[in-house]
Amino acid sequence: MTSNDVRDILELHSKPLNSTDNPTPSKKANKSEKEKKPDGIPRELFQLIGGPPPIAFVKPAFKAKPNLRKKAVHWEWQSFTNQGRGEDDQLTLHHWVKCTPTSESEDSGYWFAEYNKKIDILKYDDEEYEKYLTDKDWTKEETDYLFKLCDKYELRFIVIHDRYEYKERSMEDLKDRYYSVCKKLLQVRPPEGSDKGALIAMNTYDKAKEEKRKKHMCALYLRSPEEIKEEEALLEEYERIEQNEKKFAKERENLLKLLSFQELAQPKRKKSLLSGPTTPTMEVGNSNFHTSTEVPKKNRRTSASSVGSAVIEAEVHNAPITARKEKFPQGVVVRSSKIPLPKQTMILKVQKTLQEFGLGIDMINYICGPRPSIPTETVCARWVDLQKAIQTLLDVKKAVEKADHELKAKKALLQKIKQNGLGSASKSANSGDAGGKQSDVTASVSGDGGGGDESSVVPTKRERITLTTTPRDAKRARK
Amino acid sequence: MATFGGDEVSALVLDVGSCWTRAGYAGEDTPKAVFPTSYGYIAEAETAAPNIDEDTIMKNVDSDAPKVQDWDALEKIWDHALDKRLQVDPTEHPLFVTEAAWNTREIREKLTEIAFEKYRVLAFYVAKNPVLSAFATGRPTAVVLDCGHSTTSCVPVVDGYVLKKGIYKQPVAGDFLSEQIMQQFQKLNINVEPHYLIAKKTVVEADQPAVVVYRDRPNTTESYHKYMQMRVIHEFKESVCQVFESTYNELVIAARPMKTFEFPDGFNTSFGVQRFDVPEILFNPPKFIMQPDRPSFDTKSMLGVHQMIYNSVSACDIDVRPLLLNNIILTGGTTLLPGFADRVNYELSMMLHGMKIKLHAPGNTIERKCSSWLGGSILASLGTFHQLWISRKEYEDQGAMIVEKKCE
Repeated sequence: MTSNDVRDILELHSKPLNSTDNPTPSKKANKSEKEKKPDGIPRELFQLIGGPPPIAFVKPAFKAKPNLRKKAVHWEWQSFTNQGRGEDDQLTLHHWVKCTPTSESEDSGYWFAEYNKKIDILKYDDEEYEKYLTDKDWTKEETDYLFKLCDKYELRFIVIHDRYEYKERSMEDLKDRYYSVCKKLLQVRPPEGSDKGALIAMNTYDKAKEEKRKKHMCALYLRSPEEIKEEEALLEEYERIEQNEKKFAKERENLLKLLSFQELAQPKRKKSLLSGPTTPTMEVGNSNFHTSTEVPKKNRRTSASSVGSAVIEAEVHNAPITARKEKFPQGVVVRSSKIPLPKQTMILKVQKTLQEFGLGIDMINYICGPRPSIPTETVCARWVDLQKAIQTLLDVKKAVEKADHELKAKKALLQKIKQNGLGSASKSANSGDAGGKQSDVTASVSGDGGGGDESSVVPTKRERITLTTTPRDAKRARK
Repeated sequence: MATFGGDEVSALVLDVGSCWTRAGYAGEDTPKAVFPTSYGYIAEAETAAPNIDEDTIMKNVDSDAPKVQDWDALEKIWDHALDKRLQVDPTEHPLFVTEAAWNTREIREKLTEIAFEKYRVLAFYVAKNPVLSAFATGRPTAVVLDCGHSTTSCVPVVDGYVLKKGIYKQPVAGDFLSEQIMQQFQKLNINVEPHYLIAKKTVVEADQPAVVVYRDRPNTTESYHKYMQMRVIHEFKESVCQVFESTYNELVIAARPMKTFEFPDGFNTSFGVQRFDVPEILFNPPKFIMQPDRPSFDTKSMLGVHQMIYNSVSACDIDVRPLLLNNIILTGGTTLLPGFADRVNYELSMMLHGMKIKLHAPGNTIERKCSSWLGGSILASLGTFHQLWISRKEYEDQGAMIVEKKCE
């Protein structure tokens, strides 16, 4: 019979011998306490939140009683002298010092004396001055005076300038003199440290530049509210233009991507996509892009015919197929499996086009797309190119449709403006502007010659319009 | 203790202002003694009277004035502060004294002389008010607008040094406003009877003549009467006057609620636009000043306080201007007028477009009134400061001129 049993009999649950002796009942008790779920809270939620949160994590406690038995710390009214003051100065002040047995090493000096830091100003003697430092604008007396002030105010030139009473001098004059003297002294003195060059560089002062800077600062300080408003407006405008430019650049990039199937043949040119389009189609669409020297003449001619044939022709002529570097994966693979899939949304359309060409009919595979019947390296490469060309063609078609739609809408708008706005002067100007746009559009549509001024990097309104019409142009060309 | 950089050596800090004198121990947050910088004396004996009474002649010791007129009086003030109020032996303590930013070398030397010769202080230091005000708000660089009793001054402080070229000051401050209020009352036919003349008063309706029994005080001096009258005006100024927050606009102001003021004799009336008029002098002096009977007072040349700040900042180098504008400190009792800080902020932002302006006006009244004392208290209790004291030995070696060398 253990003591536990006795306790059981006597029903003394509350006092276990130790915590390990009787862990389960207390846990159970806890659980039962916890599981009292208040009404209105779903069971799942209650399990998650695990009961009401404790009101406070800190046990409330009263302020600790002061320990009255402990002996009070002894403080002593001690005299001290400050080493920061002059050597012979005997000013003795008093302060309260906590007397702890460990702090007997009080004689190390006044605690705050170490903060008495002084900046080192270069000194020169008469001989040095005569030899190197003479200046037609400065006498020795004035230079001495300046250096005295520099020493006194520790190179706070704003204060030095304020207290400078020798002569009317600008702060730039003072700084210039001080730094030029320092530089000269550093240069002529025998080298001491390795960082002499850095020291000299630190003491270099460009007076003209500084004066210019101050002038600009003053102008900035004295701006009138109108100027500030104008500035803000300009800034806003600039931001807007920049955003437009970005947007336009993005549009152009998309467009170029659409039209740059020729890139396949000339992979090196891919990087110059933004700086200037290189494809012959672009040449047709937007004559202001001027890389004609780089583009083979033949391509330009071919692009005038149908796009599809142009692709093939260009490939036949230009594609240096043997130059392709292929990376072979380890193990045995089917070459046709390396053919990339067209975009998921376009698989069917690509297939359809291929069927139109009479290709890949026998190999229709709805999972991995059409495959060439004899997938040799050359055939596969051609196949990939063809697939890409087809995708591009489809994209171009889509873009052309979109552009057509836009053009229609614009035309309608123009018509509307023309009808409404012939009356008032401002409106007529508006319509004139619109007319200009229109003429521009037609010019770019019909003309494939050079539009000189539009080659600027910043897209103008005109350029934008010409660009949006390019797909249409391409379509026309195809037709 | 050392972690805070403080090391108290029981220095005394004495700030003799133009209206109030503050004295206390360095390291404390409020002066132990604050008393008027005025004293009374009996005419025949020309000695200071033990108590200010009706038969004493009131005299004000204006320490802001370019020349301290009355050194004896200043010594009396020091005596009172050290002996009567703080009750200390000055030979045991270092003494820290504040001064106006434009004090001349002669005054500083004289102060040093008095401190060492008469009071035989342990050590001495004199610092400029604006620097201390800047320190009191914890800034080494600031432009300090001090609108106190006799002088409004605007002083740029850079790294704890006053920039002398940027000091602007003019005698349009609290005292001047009180005089103008007095003139305004005369125009309104309001007679200001000080408390000491009133024996008995009865409650009357607003704007009704006072029903009052006067005391008979035949021997009262004129200066005492004026002094007591000014007390009433001060009360009026503190409780009724207000600065309009933006550009003065009579129509808008007329819509503001009136404030009632009861004079010591029981007469009471409400003030509407008038209570905005006089403080407006601080911002638009040429338009609002009623020509005072002060000799050689040039109304035209007076500037608004915002104009003073602007001029003061503009006189400094362009590189510190943004820093100064970011640290504009308002101090002095007159800046406690309601709306003062808002107005300064408004006017400055109208003048300085596109610059960041930040005002620092301590919300605590004591801090605003005693900021230079407070700065002195902080400075004199710093461990690193103790090397700057002028010691007796230094004074004996080099004479009073040492003050120019050591106290910048």
